[in-house]
Amino acid sequence: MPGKMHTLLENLDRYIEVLTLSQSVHVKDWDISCVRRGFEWGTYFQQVYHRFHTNECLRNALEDHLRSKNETLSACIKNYQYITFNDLRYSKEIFCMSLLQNKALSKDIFQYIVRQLKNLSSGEISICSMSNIMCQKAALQLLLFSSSIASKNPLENPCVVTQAEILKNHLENRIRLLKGDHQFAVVADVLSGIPQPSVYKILAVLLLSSETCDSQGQVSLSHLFLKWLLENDSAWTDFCSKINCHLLSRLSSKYVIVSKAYMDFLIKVGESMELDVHGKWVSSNAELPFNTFRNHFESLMNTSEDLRSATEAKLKALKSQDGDYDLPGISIWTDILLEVKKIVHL
Amino acid sequence: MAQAIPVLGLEFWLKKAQEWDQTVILESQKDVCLHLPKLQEFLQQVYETLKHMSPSAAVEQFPPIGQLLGRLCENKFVVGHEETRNALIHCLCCLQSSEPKSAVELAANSWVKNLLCHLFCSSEAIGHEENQSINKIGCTTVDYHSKLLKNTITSWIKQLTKPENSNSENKLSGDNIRALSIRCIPILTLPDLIPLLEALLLYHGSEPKEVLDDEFLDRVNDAILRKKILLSESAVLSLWLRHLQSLEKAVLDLFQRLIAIQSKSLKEMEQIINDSFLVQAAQYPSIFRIIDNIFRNAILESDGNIKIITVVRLFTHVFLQLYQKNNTQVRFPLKAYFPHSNRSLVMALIRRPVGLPPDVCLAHLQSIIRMLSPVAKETRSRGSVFEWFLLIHFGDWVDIAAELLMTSESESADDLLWLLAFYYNPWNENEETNRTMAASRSVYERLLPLRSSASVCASKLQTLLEEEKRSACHPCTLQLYRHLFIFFLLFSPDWHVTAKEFIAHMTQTQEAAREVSDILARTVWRLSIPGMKTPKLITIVHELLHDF
Repeated sequence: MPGKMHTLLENLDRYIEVLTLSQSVHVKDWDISCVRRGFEWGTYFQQVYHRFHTNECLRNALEDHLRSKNETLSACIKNYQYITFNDLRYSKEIFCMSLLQNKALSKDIFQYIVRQLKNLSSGEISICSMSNIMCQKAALQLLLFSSSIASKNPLENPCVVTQAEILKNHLENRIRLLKGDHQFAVVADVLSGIPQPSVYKILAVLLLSSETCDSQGQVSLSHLFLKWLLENDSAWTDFCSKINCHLLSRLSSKYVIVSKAYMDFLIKVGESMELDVHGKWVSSNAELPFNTFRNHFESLMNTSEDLRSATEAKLKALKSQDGDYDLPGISIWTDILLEVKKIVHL
Repeated sequence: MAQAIPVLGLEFWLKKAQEWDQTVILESQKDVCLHLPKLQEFLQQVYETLKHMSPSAAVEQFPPIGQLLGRLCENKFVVGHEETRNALIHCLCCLQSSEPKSAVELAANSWVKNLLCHLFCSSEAIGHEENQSINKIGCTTVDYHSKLLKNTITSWIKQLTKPENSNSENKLSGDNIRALSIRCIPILTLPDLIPLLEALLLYHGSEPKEVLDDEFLDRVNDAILRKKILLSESAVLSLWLRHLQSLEKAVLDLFQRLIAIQSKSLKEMEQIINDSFLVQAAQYPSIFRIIDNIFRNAILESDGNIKIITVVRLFTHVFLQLYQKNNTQVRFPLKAYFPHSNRSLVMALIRRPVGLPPDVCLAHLQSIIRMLSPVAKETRSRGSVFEWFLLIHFGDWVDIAAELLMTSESESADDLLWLLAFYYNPWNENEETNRTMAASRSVYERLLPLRSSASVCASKLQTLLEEEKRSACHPCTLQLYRHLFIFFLLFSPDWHVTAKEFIAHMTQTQEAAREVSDILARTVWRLSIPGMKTPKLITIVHELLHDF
């Protein structure tokens, strides 16, 4: 048995390398028999997945092995795509898609693959279930339409929710066996690679939907996300500017640390505001006009009783720091308090 | 060979493809959906022609072919439809040269390659900026589309099921929902889509008008009837309640299937009725009455076709079984299903004859006849048509009347004969029924003395039948004769050899054969009830049926 396991792991290493190579320029030297063997190994590892995915012991062994193989490869390949145990289930599809998207693929191999795929609906055994992927893609092109589905609220936007799901699985898998700082390094590395503002929307979804709260002993992914957001001032400012104030309020009521940092952000914006010649408050940061700024406070007041009293106390303290004027047009905090009172009937 | 692509077709489809470029317009989207089956057929024809030609010959003979295929590849509705997409892929492959010689062929090859990659690969942006970030996460994203599809569908369902009075922000408008229903048409059979189809069918907004597109409703109904999709009972019911044409189609489809199988086994037909889900839907009185109306028209238009009458009888039987089993939900009163009929008559007919001793059966039949005859004897009354149609649903009692006539010395033979005469010949005024009755009485009286003889020879019966036929030749009366003769033979089981011979004589016309086979089949079905001791009779009937 140990011998067999050893062979299996060695084969797995080779196959992961083949999958990686299928995305590289090296495919230009491949011939059809290479590709055919690639698909055969794909079939084999799909069977491995189906045989072992319920066997915890073997599954763990394979997952651990894959993890270290992935780390090794990612160290020397740019934009490396991690392969997990679950991915083995789709190994042929991954292989096929990598090849089809590879510009270096030779004409012969391209035609070979297309010939195989062409027969996918005719009842013959096809080389992989690309048909299913194509159907799903086609369905998405039809169903993702209208503003109602591409909602501004990331929690209701299926694209953001799906990316959040995938990011979470990927990170959980990668940091599982790492300790402290290493975990954060991986999270920070991956997050910095995702374009803005997508990364903020994804994080908002993950932070709001995570079940783990502050009190848990173990360092959760949410903590690592928060650390990444809060450690870097410009990231946090961007996050607060790009994410809807209702979501920020909900995050504040869920995480104490967010509530404090969010208030700091608002104070900073408030302090930067000045009256223009028309008597209106304008920010040097033009992205946040007075009305939007006021909305942040309104939303804080409407989210929970605790947040409401804390926000009100904070605004009163700021107002008194500023000279405790009751007349509008002198201190931003007096004006915000007056505006907020109009709406929430303090 | 080259002539196989209708050139006109090519021009027609090219014009269509150009019009369809405006897929943002709902009517244009709907037009694509309407044309998908024809387009698929056309592309298959194109493929059959192209596969025998070199790519350059193909382009030379059909210059617009590249433009057409290219445009179709860009159309979400065309590409969304699996069969059409596959036909498209096949056609594109034919335009690829395996040994490109000229620059044109090289360019064509790379053009085809791009289109095929566009169709095969799922990495392309779906059109949202968020999708670009997925590639930066650093993991394989082969299951991205399946996850995204699931979440997109969940998101639509959430919006469709938002309560009426909820926050109006992001609330779906009727137009949005119609657009969504049209977009579902090309992908109806995708298993992931089922929960969304159900949510759409169950959606009831505040709009007085139907928000779902009629083509969508039609195609969903078709897919259900062809068993291409399996939806929840509540969704199917909702479809039939909101779209009358679908319900009508479902009933006609059931008829067609029952008639097409030409089964001699009513059990098999019963199974088909059960699977159609119409019986479940008919538990709603409004649906039952629509189905019943279709039945009535079918019977009238087919001049009382025996097969259709049997379908009605079977359907009622299965319907009542379910109705009586239903203790959990609120049950509608029977009056709601048969609003035009006398309530006590309905109650009497609904009683199941299984296991009742002959004398109880007879008494029960007499009470039925007492209620039925005054209405039936009113000349040209609407009532008589309704009551006759009601009797059709419960034809078991008519068979029992015939059975009792042939098995017992009944003093009420006249009543029983009247019931049979009314069943077979209710149409023309009372007089006609009376004539049928008189004729059948004569047959009955001639058969009666034969019952006590140890054996009867087929030729004697044949002579008897021929003589009676000569005196009364109304087709309805003839039907009644056949019923009486067959029951006469069946319920004297020692004569089954005679029965075989006689039936062979009697069923020389196709119509007669159909009728006799139906009588035999329903006798097997009626008597094959667990716990009933009639195995010998059933074996005989099976044997007789087998000869057809």
